[in-house]
Amino acid sequence: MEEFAISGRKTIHTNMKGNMILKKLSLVLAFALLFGAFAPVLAQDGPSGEIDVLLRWYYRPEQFPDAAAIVESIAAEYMEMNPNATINLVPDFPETGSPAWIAARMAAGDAPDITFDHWFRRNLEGGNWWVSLNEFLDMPNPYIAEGTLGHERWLDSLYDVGMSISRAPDGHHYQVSLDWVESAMFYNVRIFEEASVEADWTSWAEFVADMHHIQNTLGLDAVGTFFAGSGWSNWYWADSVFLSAVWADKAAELQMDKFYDEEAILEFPGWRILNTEEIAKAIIDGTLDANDARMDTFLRISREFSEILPIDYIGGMTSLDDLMRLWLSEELAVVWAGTWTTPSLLDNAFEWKIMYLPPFSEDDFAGAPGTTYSTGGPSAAGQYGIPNSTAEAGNLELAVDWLMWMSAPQNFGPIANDTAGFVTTVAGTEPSPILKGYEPIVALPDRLFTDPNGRLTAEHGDEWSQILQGYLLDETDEAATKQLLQDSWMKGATAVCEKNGFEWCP
Amino acid sequence: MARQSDRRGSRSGFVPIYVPFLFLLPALLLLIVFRYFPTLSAIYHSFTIWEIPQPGEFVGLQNYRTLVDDPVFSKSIANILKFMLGRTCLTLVMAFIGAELVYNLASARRRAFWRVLFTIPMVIPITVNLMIWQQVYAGRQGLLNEFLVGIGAIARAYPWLGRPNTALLALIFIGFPAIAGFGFLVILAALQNLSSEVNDAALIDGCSRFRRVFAIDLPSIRGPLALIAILSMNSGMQEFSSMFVLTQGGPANATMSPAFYLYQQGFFYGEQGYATAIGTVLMLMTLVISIVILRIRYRRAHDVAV
Repeated sequence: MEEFAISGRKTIHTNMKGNMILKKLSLVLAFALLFGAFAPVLAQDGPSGEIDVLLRWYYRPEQFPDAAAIVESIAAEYMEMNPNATINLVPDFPETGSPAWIAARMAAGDAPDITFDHWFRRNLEGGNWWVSLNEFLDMPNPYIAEGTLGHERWLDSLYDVGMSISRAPDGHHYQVSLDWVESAMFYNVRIFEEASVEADWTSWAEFVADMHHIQNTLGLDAVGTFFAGSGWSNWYWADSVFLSAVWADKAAELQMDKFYDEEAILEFPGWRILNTEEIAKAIIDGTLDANDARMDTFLRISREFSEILPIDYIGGMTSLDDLMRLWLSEELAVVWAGTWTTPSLLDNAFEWKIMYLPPFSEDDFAGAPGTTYSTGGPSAAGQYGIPNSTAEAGNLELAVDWLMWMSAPQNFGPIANDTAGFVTTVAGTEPSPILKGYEPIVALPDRLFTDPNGRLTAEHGDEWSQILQGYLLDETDEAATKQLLQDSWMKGATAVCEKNGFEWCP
Repeated sequence: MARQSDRRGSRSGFVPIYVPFLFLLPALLLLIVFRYFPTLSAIYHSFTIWEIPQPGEFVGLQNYRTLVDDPVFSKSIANILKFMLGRTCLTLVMAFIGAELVYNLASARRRAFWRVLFTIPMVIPITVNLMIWQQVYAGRQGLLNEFLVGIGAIARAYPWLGRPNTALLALIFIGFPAIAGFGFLVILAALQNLSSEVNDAALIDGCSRFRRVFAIDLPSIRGPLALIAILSMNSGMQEFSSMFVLTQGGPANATMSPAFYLYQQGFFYGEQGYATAIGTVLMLMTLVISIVILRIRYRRAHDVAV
């Protein structure tokens, strides 16, 4: 990649320095003449071409006109610097059709040159669709000021935990993860006061008892969580927290030494989110087994949680919007949502506060970790990758350069903080003050397991959901459920092995 | 001689024989590009491991063997057969009842009024209709629950879409009473085309209106009924939207349909070859069912020459 040089402009500026005024003027005159003569040639030094950029959340001209204006000005500035480059911003479209839309575009070799997608979906296709960014991430980002992380190596400006989670099992980064989504439970202060409930639980059992109290005394639904038939739902957060809590004592055995990351474990020694390879290996070598007694606790907690949810938490709701409608009409005490909800609730009709799941104590089950876990992750808005078709069309240099430019703190900070729906994780940026209430939750340990659809394969995530739903709806008993979960784990782990061929695979 | 005759034909207002084919050509091309080619491509790719945008790798019957052992696919087939039969029966019966009621109205103006009234809901987009029914079946604030609790039929709200024993049934009953629709229009048109002399003669012979419905009307409109049945079964077999919008195949795969499973495999799991195998099986099943219905329709039929 020696030809990938993006520092030509800086050389020109440094050549303009001088001490004597006359000398300066002469130099300026000479430079102007030279520049006039060689302008077309010099202009070609920068990236050239035309790319389409699909930023999704960060470019919604109708919903967030101010943020869209910021993006447009950043694009205009970039095109001014690179007269031979054209950046076409693609307005957002509804999320539901996104996977089909991207697949169709990929089939036609016509996907936007910068495309948003969730990391777990992106990694499913990996190098088949997306350009590996590893070698670019090791290069300097010339748009980051000297002395700021990322100037020497682009990757250093990106949050290591976020990048680690979104890294594909084959070791490649097919995207940059620029921000973080954190979840929180929004509760209606009036309802809590009426039920004499305070959000200061020291155990799971206390929390469940209080939520039942709200149901029984006020006749309201307690906790807003839904469990979709397939695909993501906010039940996944609960699932990952419960699974992390019951397997917490085995964390060290589940981790692989090769992923030991000193920076990521500073705050919680020996603790971090397991990646796909680690989970698959633990399943295949028998460390992680759904027939283990820990899963009895997992199933019990899952059932207890299901009993404090709206009656139609399975099947009756298809998105968080359904829960928000109930919560906003004050028929639901708590809704489990995320950072993106906060800006829209600033002028809410009733008072609300943020709370979170209680810690799991020894009273709840033997070996409980004494904490709960943050369910945040890089499944936020700033997940951008480059399709292979961009490289084939000769626009890779421009696409990478634009990503470097956009992800520089002076550019991404204002974009992220204008909508304030997600926490910017680019070094040199500060999260929006609106999201300050999330600090105690962000300070919690990360989950050991991410959402089910990001653990092994997307198919495994859906299978996991269907098996658990069968258990919660009394279609299968505990023993059968555990066996089904184990079969699903093994099937998912085998699929991961078949695709990646790790050295430890049988 | 023939060319001279053609020229004369043109001058005298006759259209040369190839002109209609020229007009058909664009439609034929579109049909080939958007229907036949994708179908043939899907059949071919069903024998491959296909990872878009790479060409498929031929694996013979592997996808079909996997299908046979796939419990989710088996469940989806069982679900869709129930859905298709339930939905077709409901559509046929309710559309026939609606059409008979309107047909038997004496006043032409009233007939027109009811025909329009039953036709207007057809213009509501499917997704909007489904979202309305989501609110009908909702737990808290759900219209059906509010009504049933209100009249004392049930003690508390029931999650109609959230229980395996009712979810599929709830999807079948979407749009109830299912009178408003294409089936109603076709059956009403067929009834209005029946000879009035036959009806009058039956009445003079003492045949009641109720008996006439079964003795005269039903046998006389077997063709349109078969058409509605085929169309309803076709759309029933390929049902996707209600699962996509309302249940995502849940709870516990109780509403999983082959079309939704195909969508999942193709677009969420990256198994495009396997998805095309599901599509091919679905197409063959729909074809077989249509042929069976047509055979039944023409067996001992007296309204058409076979």
